[in-house]
Amino acid sequence: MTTYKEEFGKTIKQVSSDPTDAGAEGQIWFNTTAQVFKTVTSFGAWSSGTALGQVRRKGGGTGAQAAGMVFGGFDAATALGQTEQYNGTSWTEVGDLTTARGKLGSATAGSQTAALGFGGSTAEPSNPAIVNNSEEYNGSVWAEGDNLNTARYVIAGAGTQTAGLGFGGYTTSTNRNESEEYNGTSWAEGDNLNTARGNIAGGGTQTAALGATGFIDGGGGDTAVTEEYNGTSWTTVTVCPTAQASAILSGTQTNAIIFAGSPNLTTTFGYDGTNWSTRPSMATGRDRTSGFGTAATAALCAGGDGGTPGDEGIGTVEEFNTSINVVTAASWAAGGNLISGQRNGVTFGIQTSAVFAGGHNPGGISNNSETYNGTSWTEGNNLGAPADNAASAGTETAGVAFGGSPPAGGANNDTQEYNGTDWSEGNNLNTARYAIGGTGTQSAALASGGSPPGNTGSNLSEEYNGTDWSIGNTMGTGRYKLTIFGTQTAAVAAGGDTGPANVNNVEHYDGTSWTNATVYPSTLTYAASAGSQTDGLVFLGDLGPGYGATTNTYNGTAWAASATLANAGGNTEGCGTGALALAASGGPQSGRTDGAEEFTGASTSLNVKTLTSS
Amino acid sequence: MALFIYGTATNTGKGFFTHEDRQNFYLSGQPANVWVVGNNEKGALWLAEKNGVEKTKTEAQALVTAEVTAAQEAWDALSDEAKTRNDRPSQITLP
Repeated sequence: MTTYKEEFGKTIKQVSSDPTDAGAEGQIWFNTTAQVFKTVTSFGAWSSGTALGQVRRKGGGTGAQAAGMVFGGFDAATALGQTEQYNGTSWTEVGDLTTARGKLGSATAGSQTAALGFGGSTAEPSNPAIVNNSEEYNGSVWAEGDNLNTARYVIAGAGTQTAGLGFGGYTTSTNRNESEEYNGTSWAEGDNLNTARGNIAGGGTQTAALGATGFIDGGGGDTAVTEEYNGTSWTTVTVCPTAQASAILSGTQTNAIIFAGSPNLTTTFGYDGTNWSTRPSMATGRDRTSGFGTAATAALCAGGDGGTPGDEGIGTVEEFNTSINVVTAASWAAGGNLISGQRNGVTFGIQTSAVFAGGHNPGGISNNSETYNGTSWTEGNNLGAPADNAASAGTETAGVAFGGSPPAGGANNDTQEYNGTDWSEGNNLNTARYAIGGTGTQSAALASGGSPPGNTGSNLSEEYNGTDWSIGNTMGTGRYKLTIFGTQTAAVAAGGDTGPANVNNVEHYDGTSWTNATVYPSTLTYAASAGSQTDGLVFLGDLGPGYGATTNTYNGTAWAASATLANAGGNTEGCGTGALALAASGGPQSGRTDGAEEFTGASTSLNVKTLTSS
Repeated sequence: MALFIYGTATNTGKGFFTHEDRQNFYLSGQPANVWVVGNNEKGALWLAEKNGVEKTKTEAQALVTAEVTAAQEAWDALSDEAKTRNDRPSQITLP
């Protein structure tokens, strides 16, 4: 019996935990902890891409997924000369074919600077005006190349501009079996296909080509026949699992995928040089497309027939990619319930070591303080003075709370420091404010915005060094009910109420001055936040009107929607990092306020599979 | 098949709903301990495991509306000073 080492040149390692690096792809190891053999496998998926500028069907295509091009085709019955290039993100129109046409062949392994198109038809749908000319593209313009020896349409292609291959197709109602080889100058006869047919999916190189499936005119119909070319002769190999025509093939003779076959199939199959296997299906059934791709792991399908009667072509695009990584989406889970939560309390620390203090409930403004260990809350020593709508900064063992409203109403300038056990009085803010924003640490805190008595948005900013508050530069937009995250020298202020109106304004602070940044997706008050200026998140809040459960992440430049909380609410600060945050108390606009939720950001891990004998 | 099931259940804190639960089904907590749960096998099992009491959508909506109405009335009775502490609750329409 052949051993694994004899086959692959190395032994199977024994490890106590699974590897986490991408180098594990394709390896087999024995996990001594779980007592099982494991490996990392890749998987593929189709996703939507950027739509074509020109709707088209039956066009040509060449190049790699993120550096390919489509050319020609038909828009309804109109033959097209338009050529579009794709960079992985967007399409750019470049020079037109000299002869507008569809149903043409392509040197599928070409590039955006060296493409080859040949044959085809200048009319659609009946009595096709078959052409034999070929055209070469040099990155700027198409120029006439040598003519095919046999004019035909729906001819398949493979290879490059200087080593191209055309095979199969039709002259009027006649299946063709000829193949022709192009050397960059002229076409020469190659070996004939074993099965004459058109609408074959072609790919690979001139000396290692693959021609799969097709349509046999005259009653033969769709076929699953597959043939390989070695530069000299064609050999019939394993048939494709599904008979189909007009499909696209991406990859090489020994590693390819086939997709978008007729009639409007979503199926995708992989070929490893010997056998076919099923791959994930496309979202939209289509055929007669202008797909391309030079790998089985990265292909693109553009345009085609969408399957609707009378369909004149579509412009949508799907891209196929493979990965060895599994992405786990971000989510919020239930945290421990607070002992006595309130609205508008302060929260500081991290997800597994946090403090919640102050706030208000129907009984009035509170001096309650609780600590969290990631599982449950414990009653701590109370604030020295009750405070509502204050702000905070720091950690569970070195925190600070400042500003807010005292029980008598109005605004206060109190500062209270927490050492993990007791609260003690610090030096006061220069200006009393409530519904103020705060972030940073106990020795480098930032207090910005808020409102003096009278519900007017303040633009004041103050910095705390652990002893005293000093005046900083003002924000561009004065507001209260805002949320602030980050550090004293790299902070983000989002949303708030200017007095007359709720706003979506966002500003960055660099320790010296405030500058405008990308606005929040909606107006926002009483929201919570966590993280840093380049890896932060804002969640909950009154999104105008009504409290929401949304979360948006921030990378320093753009906001992106993330996981929603289970419970809508606001009136809390939030704490933690952009990857591990805590929303404590505050609660919904009505009902209980003792809930907490914990955020875990999206993560990526290897797609590890346990090997079984079945 | 309806998209959601409705029920009441008391949030017992840590572990009441997990990250895995959130990946497996839609979940939205509402006033009056009402939960809107994605109508799939795992969502239904979660509500049962939490000793939830299944409600019709109409019943669940009535519970939520009553709770919010009470909260609105309480907010309306607050002093102007107290009203600045949080916004007036607005009615919620269950999905």
